[in-house]
Amino acid sequence: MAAHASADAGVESLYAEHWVALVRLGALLVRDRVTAEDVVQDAFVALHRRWDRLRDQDNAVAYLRRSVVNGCRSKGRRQSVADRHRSEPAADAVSAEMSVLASQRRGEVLTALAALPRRQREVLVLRHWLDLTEADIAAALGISPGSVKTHSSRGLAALRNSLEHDA
Amino acid sequence: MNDEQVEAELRSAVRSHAESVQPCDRLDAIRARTRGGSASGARTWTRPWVLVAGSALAAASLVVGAVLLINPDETTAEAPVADSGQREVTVYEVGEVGDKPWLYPVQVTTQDTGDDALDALRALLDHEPTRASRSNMLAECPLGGDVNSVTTPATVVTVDLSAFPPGAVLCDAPASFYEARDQQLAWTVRTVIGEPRPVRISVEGGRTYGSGRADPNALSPVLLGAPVDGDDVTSPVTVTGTSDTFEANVVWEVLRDDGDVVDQGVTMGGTLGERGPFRFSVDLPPGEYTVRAYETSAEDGSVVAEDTKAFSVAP
Repeated sequence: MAAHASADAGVESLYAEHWVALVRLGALLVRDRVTAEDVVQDAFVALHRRWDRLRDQDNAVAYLRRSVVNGCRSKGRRQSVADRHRSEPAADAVSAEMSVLASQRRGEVLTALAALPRRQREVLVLRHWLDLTEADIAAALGISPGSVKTHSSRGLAALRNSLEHDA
Repeated sequence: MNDEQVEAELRSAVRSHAESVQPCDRLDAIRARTRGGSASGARTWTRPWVLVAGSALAAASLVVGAVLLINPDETTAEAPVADSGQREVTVYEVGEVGDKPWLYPVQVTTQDTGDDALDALRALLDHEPTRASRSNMLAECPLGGDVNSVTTPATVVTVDLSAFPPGAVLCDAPASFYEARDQQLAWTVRTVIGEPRPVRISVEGGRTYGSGRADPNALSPVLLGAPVDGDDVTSPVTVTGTSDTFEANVVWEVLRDDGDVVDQGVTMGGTLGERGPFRFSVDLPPGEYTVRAYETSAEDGSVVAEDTKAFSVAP
């Protein structure tokens, strides 16, 4: 049927354009590639299911982002229990590049980012990885643009404190 | 450090880490989960894929299109003896709207054996859909016979089924309907245990089949909560429900038993991906009514999600 074919084509086109960036977004939020792939895969399947309810492709991308953030949030809740038992809580966030000094600093930044409250972390990741506007971040998180601004400034202040303390 | 320096460091760290992640290709996996919506043209709930199997052996050994290979061992486990009590449980049935299978929760009464999950799943397997447009995929494309046991440790819920009974059905449903069937199980378990743990199915303790965890996207985007089917209420009638629809819009209408629309309106629930409550009130003279709440496609106005409840207004 035309509706189904249109969903197939639409989802495949969005997959080609956004799969990699969204998995990377997921990996920044859940700190595990395979979990991120699971979350983003679910988001694409859900998008296909709801294809005819979206007015245009921008809505579809916004829906995908929102699904990924929500999916990561629920994975994150389960993961946080496991994290408490790890000796190095943010080990996955810090890549193999850790041997280099610059990478070590990046590792510190990612560790500090991972320690932020969930909303602040989500706002900062959406802004700095996907370059989203306040309005797009608000849509992805289901909050007001004013809240985005607040979470962003609080998150940055907390990061600065944390990094200055580490330095 | 000022904010610009922190942002610059953050941006560099985020980008460097993100770009070090090399995602595997999952397009085929996505296609496998979304295909089969309508290859044979307009599908109706005549369930053309359901065929009565000619022999018990065929039924026991093959479910076309399903992942699970059923153990052909026909040994049936002894069912626990139910006490005389009954209990209310929530099970999920499947309704097709806008070419997609959606889940609808239904309250049913079942035997109380003292095992919440077992009672709910047995009620699910026995459930007769509440209307012609709904289906119980677990009964039509079964994974096994009766529920032997349900174990709910902290991680994965395991549902053990008996092997197929003789004369069971052989079916070839579209992939999305197998997914709806798995979600019937996952949601029924989730409602009992209060959280969306993954569900694993085994047959006579043998081969297992992972049916996933309850997915909020499997639920009908529009669900009516009150009144429930068969309710006898007084006017004004307060109608409540939950929804996640485009721009939060939910269209509603109340129909008399002769099909005439006696009142209609639009209300707001949750937006796409964020299910939220909706509520409206209607003044109605005594009589029999059906309330219908639905979402229309932003593209062509067709109904893409809906729920209905039949009730009466007492004098």
